[in-house]
Amino acid sequence: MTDSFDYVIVGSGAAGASAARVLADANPSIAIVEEGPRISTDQFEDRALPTFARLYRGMGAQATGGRAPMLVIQGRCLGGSTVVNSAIMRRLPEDVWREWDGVFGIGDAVQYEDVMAASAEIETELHAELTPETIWGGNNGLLSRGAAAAGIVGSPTLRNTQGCRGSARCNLGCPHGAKQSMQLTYLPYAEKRGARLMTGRRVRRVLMRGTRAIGVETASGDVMANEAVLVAASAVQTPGVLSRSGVRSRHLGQHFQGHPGMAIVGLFDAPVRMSDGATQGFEVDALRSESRVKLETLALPPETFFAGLPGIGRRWASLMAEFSHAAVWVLPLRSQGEGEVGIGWRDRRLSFRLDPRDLPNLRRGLRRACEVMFAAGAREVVCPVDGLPDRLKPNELNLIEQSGDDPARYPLALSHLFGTARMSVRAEDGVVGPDFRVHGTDNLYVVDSSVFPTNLGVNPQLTIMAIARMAARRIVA
Amino acid sequence: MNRFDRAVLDALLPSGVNPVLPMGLLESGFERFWSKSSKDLAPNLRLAFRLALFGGAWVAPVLVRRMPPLSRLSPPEREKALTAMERSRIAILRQLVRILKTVAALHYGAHPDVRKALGYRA
Repeated sequence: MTDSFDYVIVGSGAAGASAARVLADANPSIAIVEEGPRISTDQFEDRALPTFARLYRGMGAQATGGRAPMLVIQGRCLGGSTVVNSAIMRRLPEDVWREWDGVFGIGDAVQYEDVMAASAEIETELHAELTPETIWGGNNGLLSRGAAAAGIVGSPTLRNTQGCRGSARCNLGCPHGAKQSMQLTYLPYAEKRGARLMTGRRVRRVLMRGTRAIGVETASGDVMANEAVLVAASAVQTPGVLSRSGVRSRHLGQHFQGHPGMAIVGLFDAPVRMSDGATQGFEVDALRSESRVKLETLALPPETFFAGLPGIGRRWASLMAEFSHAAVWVLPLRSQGEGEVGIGWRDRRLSFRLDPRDLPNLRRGLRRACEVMFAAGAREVVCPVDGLPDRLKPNELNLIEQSGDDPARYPLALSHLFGTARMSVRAEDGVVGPDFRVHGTDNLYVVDSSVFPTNLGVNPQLTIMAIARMAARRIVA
Repeated sequence: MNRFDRAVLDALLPSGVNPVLPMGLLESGFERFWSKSSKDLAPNLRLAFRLALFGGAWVAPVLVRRMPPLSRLSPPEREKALTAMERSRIAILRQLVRILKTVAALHYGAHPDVRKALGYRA
């Protein structure tokens, strides 16, 4: 079966849906082709395993290879990672943009003022709001209190939510439809104007006629494009789609970047009940400048809380039993390392190498985060680096600094993925040109975070949406 | 699951070791979970879990200078052996323990009695 549209968008996450919203206003002949399933709000469960199986790429077990594997976290469903993220909206930091401009020369293509203007529009459309104190609950409240006591600046997170009840289930899919993720907002907007959402259809490749993209190939038939194909399949999937479509560049799949991070657990005498409150309702940016980490809360369900705790038997059980008295905070690191997304016969194999500066930065951040946890009143902190005691007391924080530079000792997970089809002015420096067109093609575009030349150091969904919106406007102009 | 696997799972989280969570992993129905729900686990995780069970049964005892399998050891020795594996200088052994605990936690943390005992509203 062959369908024909003016525009075909590959992927329905933050980038694909944002592009669809813009295109739909100008020309409703759009197909949005998504590999994952369409899951409705009433199908979200409060259990991790079925959620991982249905909503996450690799059933939640996608990981980098090598001696120190890291989980690589991504959604795989209609709406992509916006369905399972914590709705945090952060604008592109100006220092990051300056690097894009100064080092990579794309400041004219992606002007800071344009990104800010698009971000502001999106914040309005998706109802970005500061997490109200009424739904902070214990976990977020403790970070607020700890930061104040430690003398560092923190703030409630800006999130795209409407009517959030603080059920701490963002990462399992919001059960109340409060999170304004793409399957509830931009995708229905586009669909109402005539766009077609096709789920459960993995795009194998873009069909090319010479330098012109004419559609995409899926197992259940081709979807033809009269005007353009926009690839927004994520930094992990986009390189494979392009490679199978005949795009050749030594940068394709390279420069894979992200934010490796890990959690610490504070144990308090008074109940914390992190399951009552916003999943990620409070954050501290102050550590970005000193150690390239951001500190933020993260409420976990019992399954993932248990999995991250050290110990066997009695020791493990004693930490599990502290669930209701535990606060969990995470430290995503703005890594200076890079990896690779395999293409060709190494299709989708992931690798990531930390930079030698990363672990010292992470350890500084961990120590500071533990200090904040103690300032908030914790009696002990669990910092699950191999070799450390199960429970750290305030006078034992120097042990963190002695944890060494073996990445296998740190239980890192990689989120927020970038860079595998980066933008460049010259074809020899990247995959995509300043107009978001793949170098050497007429109408094949990449509009997702693959085009970002670096990671951001903050949660990227707003910047991904803003840049996809700018790209779509240029394409349709 | 055979008796070697069961010995590993029992040592990982035995019954009666914590007053708040007295139910052990096997008692919580892990074997039933494995036979019914392991299809929801990623294939790479399923495979790694089988390998981790093997490592727990046949490698962990060696780390505390005892003859394998783990099922030959007394309960305190089993815990000691798995602890040695978790603290091993060999990264892959530590990772296998992480995998054991991840899969066990996915079942145990979703158990209604466990959630009730923790005061987790669900």
